[in-house]
Amino acid sequence: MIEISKILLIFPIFLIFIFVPFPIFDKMNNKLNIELLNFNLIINCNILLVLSLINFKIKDYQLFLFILYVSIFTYYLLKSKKKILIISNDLIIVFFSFFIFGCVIANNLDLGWDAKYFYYIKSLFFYEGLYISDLSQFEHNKWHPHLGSYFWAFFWSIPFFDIEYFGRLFYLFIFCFAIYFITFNSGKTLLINRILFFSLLLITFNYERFSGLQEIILFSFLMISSKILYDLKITNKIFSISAILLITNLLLWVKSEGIVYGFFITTILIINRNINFKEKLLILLIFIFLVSFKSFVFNYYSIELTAQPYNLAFIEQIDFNQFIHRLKNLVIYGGYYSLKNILFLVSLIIIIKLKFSKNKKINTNNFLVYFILNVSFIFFAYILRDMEIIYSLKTTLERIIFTSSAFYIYLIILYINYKIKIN
Amino acid sequence: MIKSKYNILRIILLLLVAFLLLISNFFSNIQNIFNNNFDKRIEKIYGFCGSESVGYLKYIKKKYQLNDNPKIINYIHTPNVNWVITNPKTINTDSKNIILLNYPGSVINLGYTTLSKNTYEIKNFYFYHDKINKINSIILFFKNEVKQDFYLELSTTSKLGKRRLIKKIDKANKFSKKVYQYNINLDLKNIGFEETNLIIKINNSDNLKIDKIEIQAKNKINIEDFKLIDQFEKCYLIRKDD
Repeated sequence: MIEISKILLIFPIFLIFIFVPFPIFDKMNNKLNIELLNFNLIINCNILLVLSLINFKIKDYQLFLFILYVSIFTYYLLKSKKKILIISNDLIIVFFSFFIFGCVIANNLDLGWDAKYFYYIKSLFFYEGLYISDLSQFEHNKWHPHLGSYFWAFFWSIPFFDIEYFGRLFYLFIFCFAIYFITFNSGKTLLINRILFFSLLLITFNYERFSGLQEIILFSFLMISSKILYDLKITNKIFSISAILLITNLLLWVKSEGIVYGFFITTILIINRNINFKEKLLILLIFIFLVSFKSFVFNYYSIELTAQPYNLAFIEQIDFNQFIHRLKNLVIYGGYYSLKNILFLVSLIIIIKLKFSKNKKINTNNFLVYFILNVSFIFFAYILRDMEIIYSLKTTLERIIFTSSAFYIYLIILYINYKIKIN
Repeated sequence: MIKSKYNILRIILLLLVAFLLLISNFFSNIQNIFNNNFDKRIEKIYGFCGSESVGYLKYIKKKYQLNDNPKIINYIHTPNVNWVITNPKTINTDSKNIILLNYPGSVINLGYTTLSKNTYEIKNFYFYHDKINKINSIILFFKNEVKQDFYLELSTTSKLGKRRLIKKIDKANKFSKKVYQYNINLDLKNIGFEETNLIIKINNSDNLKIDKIEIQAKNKINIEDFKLIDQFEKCYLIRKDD
């Protein structure tokens, strides 16, 4: 019973991370401002990233951070004179789904292969009060960055909770919130939004995604960035640009391939018509700075930067027969996993349908650019990878297709809403 | 255009929520969390001694206060289990303790898959690098009496699929008319780290039907050479003598 109560109680703690630092109550109506809730989440994840890079033990600042955040939120609540009921009305479905899936995670507990090799042990470093500088002692550290493991350790080490999977529940929280964010206000009625919310949860939730693997964090932030990029207008562009760049920064520090997804969303941002030349240049410079900063930190802490299985010697060995062998298998496995992933398949059909129809209500440019970049990435990543191709495809391609499919979900939502008419 | 009535949407929402509760096994999850604490649930998933043996690892870590990251050798190919007992504060220290999981005894029968008729493959050969020094023998069990000469061919394949012939062996010990043993004595040093698979082909054997083969190797670890600290079924905690 205690563990079940803990799953219920951790939710308000996670909520704090979307309630501050910016005030979340909409002055115009009696609702929460979803854009600010989202921005708070992105800001707080970035704050945790910064704290992970300096030699601060989690236990040294955790309590202070919680007290500070609760105080700020209480101040906002008193100042705006809103009732706490508004929050519960708006976020009840997030809480409901979080609790259901939280119980799935608490019941399964099995960690994924990569989680056992890298992510769990890294989170153990932070949980035990060690620092990023100590990670260089861990031989498997080089494969991926540490941010997801840091989130895991941060919430795992909250005194009253103190069980490993409470750290992973934060991944679930980000995931549920991301789906809430893209479905909120998307449909013509609240009912349709909620139907879309639950349908997406049903399609995308799978315990393995929460077994300590990091793809679900990339997936959630890609979903969020897809909506931000689509809704980008001249009036909200500074806010949207900041959000996308902050998400890019998070992607860089979650997984090695985060740099690729960061590059995709930054490219889509740069080619947006509402952004002028000076801003494009600035975005590009910030992206270069973020990537360079990561390299600098890795070098500073003696963490190997180029541990991924790509090297020139191997690429030079690939002859024509080997290329055809790799390509053939890539097409076979790529086709198979794409057909298995309903989101990928449906969105591809929608993109084609909208491109060849007269309908101009849904702009497919972002999704098309993302699709081209994504397919190119998958092609080069597997053709040039220094690994036995079939083993490599079998063990990683499904996750790559799943992660990258996140960006298309908003297109599916737009399309469904366009098609539905209520009597 | 899909036209829908408000009431129908309400029913769809209710069905979705019901479906969500059903496919997530919500009620059985609650029951399991309620009845079993975290450690019990972990043991139910990973087993106590068998496969990943996480239950045993947690048990000995607690009982013997193992904080020095002992080496774990698991004789069943499973995901890494070091995570269970890792202590990051002493991550690179040398421990005198060794944990053996699913220890098969002094002789190991190497696992293989059948590639085609009379051709076999040991995949991911690196798995055996900390368990054996060499492959000692291969025993062939034929279904019928053997009246013709045949020979064994050992080769490796790299991750790019390139094959390298290592050995051809034609001399065998005839145990009976149906059982032949080849003393191949293949040292693992002769196999490069990038050569991931070992292929065993029985040549000139088209008319022969093979019932099974046994690929045997001497275990690097002999328990008698160590101090036995703990044992449960095939799981051991042993210590190197000072």
